[in-house]
Amino acid sequence: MAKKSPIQPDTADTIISRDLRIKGNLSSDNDIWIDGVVEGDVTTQGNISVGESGKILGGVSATEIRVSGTIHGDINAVESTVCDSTAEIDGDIHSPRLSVESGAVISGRIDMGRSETNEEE
Amino acid sequence: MYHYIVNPSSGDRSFDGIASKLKAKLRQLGIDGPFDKTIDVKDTAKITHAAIRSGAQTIVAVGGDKTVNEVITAVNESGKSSTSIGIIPLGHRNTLAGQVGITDWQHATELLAARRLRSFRLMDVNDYSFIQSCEIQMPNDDSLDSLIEVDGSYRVKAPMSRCRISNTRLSNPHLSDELLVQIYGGQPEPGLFDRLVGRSRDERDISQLHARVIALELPADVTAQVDGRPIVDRHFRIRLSQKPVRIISARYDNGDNI
Repeated sequence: MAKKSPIQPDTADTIISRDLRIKGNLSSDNDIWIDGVVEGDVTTQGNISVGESGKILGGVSATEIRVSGTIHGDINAVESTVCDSTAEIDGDIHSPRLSVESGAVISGRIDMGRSETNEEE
Repeated sequence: MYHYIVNPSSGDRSFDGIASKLKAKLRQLGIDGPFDKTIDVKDTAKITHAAIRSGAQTIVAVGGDKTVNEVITAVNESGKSSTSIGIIPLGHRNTLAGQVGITDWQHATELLAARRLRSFRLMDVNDYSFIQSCEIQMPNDDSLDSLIEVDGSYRVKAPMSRCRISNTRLSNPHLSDELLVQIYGGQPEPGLFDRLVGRSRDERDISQLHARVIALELPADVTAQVDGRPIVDRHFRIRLSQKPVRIISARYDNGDNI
């Protein structure tokens, strides 16, 4: 059974709905839920969930990342990454913890080593 | 020193019905002061600027959202950041009074005497200031593609039936001043029947962004309701103002209610 997402669409601070298309880099300090399309990098100090209809054409950096949609770019998670069965990722994943459901498609390298920042701590 | 500005035509001329009781209550609380009635929007600015020049430390808007917005704009234009703003809600539209915890005119008089201040940064839309919300509704619920530039860093393209911009801090004193941008997608707004049977808009059709400055480019002229004041344009630049205003409210800046 799939684990519950770290954020829900109704509790996220930033919500990109299905019809929205963003061009440029999106950065935030809080949780982001993406059901639309982002053509650029997405960076936050909080968590990111990419819904089934969500698509990111760029890199993603966050504390916890959950992917049910598509990411064409590298993923950098401070704590964990969860790829649901509908996830499509074309890029490298850097994440200390990783969970991949059967059916998810990942094209890229996976690095589960601690980041330099974490090693210093 | 308190100075009261009344829009006598606001609501259903409700000021006439309570004028003597209100003035008596203010005298009892030791916060009475001159009352000036406005005829049009320019009067509010003239009266406010004259009151501040003559030493008023608090300008109190007696009326609805439109009157409050006129007073806030006039105090902001005066450049006197030490001047406080009070609200005595009258008439039908008192959203801002509700958001700062004022329930009715009797409650407002007690809060004025207690003088609990909260600071908010105003928002500017084109040449106007507002504190509460700027709401842009597409005509006839047509979902036209609109372009929004956010903080100069990214652009949003979406079919939009409505867009609402407010200050996050107004609803939650623990948050910092920031524009909360809510974009309602192409789905039509629920009609009266839908609302009666409990159908509401799909929440997944609403996007929510945080920003300091946004620029909207719309495909046609639309009317924006800026704290109840209509502005017609197709280009809107909305940003957080650098100037704070101090409003007497039911909450301290640390969020405690009184």
